[in-house]
Amino acid sequence: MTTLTKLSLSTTLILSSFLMSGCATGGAGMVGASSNVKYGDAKAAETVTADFGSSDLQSTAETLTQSLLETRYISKAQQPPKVRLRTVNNLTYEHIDTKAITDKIRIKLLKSGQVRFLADTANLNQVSAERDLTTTATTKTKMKAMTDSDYIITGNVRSIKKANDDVKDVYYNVSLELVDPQSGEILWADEKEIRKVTSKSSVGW
Amino acid sequence: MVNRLHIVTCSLLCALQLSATSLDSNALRSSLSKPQFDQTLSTLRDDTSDQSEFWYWLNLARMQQAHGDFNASINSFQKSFEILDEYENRAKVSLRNIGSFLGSTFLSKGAETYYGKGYERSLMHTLNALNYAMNGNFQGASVEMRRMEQRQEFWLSETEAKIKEAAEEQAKAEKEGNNVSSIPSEYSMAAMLEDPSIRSLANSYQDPFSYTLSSIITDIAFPSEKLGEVSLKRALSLNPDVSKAFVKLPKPAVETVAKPKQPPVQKGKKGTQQPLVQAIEPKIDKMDVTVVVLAGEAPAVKIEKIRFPLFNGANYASIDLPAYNPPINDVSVVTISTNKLILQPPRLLQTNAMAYKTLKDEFVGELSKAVVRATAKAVVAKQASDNFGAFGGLMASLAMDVGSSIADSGFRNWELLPNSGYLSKFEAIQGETLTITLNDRQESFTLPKDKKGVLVLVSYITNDNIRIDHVEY
Repeated sequence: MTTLTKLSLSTTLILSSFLMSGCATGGAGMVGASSNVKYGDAKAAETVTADFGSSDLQSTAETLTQSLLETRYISKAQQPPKVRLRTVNNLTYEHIDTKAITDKIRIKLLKSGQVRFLADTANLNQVSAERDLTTTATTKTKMKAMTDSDYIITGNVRSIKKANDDVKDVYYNVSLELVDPQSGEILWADEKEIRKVTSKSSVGW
Repeated sequence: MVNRLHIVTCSLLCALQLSATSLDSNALRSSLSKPQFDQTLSTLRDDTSDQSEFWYWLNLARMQQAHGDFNASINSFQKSFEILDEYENRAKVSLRNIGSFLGSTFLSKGAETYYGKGYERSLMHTLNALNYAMNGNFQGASVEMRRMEQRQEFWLSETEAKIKEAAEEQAKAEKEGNNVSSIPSEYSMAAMLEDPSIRSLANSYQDPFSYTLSSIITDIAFPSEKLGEVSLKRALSLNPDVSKAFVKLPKPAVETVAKPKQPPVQKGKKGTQQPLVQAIEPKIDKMDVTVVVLAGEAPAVKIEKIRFPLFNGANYASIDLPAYNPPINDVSVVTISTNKLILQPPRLLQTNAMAYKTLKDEFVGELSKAVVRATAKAVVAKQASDNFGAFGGLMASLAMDVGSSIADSGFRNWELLPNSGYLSKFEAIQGETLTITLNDRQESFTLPKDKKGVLVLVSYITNDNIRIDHVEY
């Protein structure tokens, strides 16, 4: 093989390597000597994609908790009412972990000291099993205390998605309701609206 | 000169070797039977050469689903979703899209990267919804069904644009004196594209199977809200057979018993005339059963070359058109039986029809591009013939043929997409035996007790490779 051929082959290989590394899509960078990992501000606005993200989770929990605490059923209650948080339905086009929303709201409400929480339905069986282990006789009264709530909080996350060749527009609506389980009356309801717009760049790879 | 030839030969061999290391379409589709399935899945999973391809992840996802590994299948569908999402969100003027367009216009159809047809992009969500459902996550499944419906809406405008584009290509080609309105008689799909059943399809991407499943899953996920009604109406408008997918138990025979003697009505008191016999309906614990059968493998795309001689046969050019290998391993009869019902669910998913309809809609555009490619190749062959004689022209034709064949071999679609989908939702009695017959194979299992319903997924890959999974709710 002549030197010229070797050189041309080497050049081809180097060019190919560059091209291949250029073709590689982004993603989590490799953690090593040249790692790009760094700590970020947990409350900073996250705008990586138009999907429901951490900023949306935080702002939703903040707004709805504040609104709920201001309602007279909580703020003017003689003693902190017992509340059960039900599942928030995901009616969007994304796999949103709605439990993250309810967990965040629960923590904020508990920290306020204005409400008491009962274990949610999913955890109730575990709590009940734990009680059976620790107490010899579970009376009906005790069981009733575990299950009877003054209020139930329930909600939905909905989205409307529109797109054309240039722009993608996503509207999210997170709504919560405070319901009296005895009468079924909706005592309070509020919503948080979020709108995200992404546009395509004009020229790119 | 010898060195140059050496490099060309090495490059060709390398390219051939690279394509040989991964499972090609035929190898993949012919090694799905029970004894080979695990090995094929393992080979496909470990193959890193095609991981940037949309179809690779879809094929892997179907195999993982048919293997009962629903989480892995969700991850694979997510990968294909990311590839598609990246493609759809590219810059308005994308260098990759321009390169692909130029390659497919002048060199080979295989230079195009395959990002799926409308029906494949919709069905990836339908199959993924089943993964979530089989994991017991019906809200997650309903998210996938909404994505499917949104894609179908998107394709409504997209397909109209494609048909318009094809008409423009046709007008342009005819202006240049090329006849692209008639299908070449040598083309293997010629008869299929003119088939009345294909021509009569409303469109190439809306399938009643997905809409029906969407209505069922949405009703399971959100039982108090009637969110599934719209989907069901859409399904019914596409195929009236959808109504046959829903069956209720026959009303039980009313048992009559003699009523005990009533004390006589006293004078002055109002009394009502009581019947002497009382109708008693025997109490049975009913449950909803939904059976989904995904059977066979859809048509596999290929590039078909129609070669024709040039300049007194000294060299040749070819028109290369997309075509399909027929579907395989499909089931012909599905029967579901319980103690009180014998059902033959309708075939609501007909992937082969949707594939052929897509080809039919895009055919004029494809033929126009093929004519441009053939003309470009003929010009090169003519130049070679003029400069190096008849042998040079023939070699140029051969070189272009081999080059485009290598590119074409990598042009693949979702070859393991189910070709048929059968769906039935019916009432059954808790704890009774459910029997599903697929061709000559019979599989039975006992329905659970104390549950509202059960969703059964039958993955029929080949006649000897059937898997039945179910989830209770």
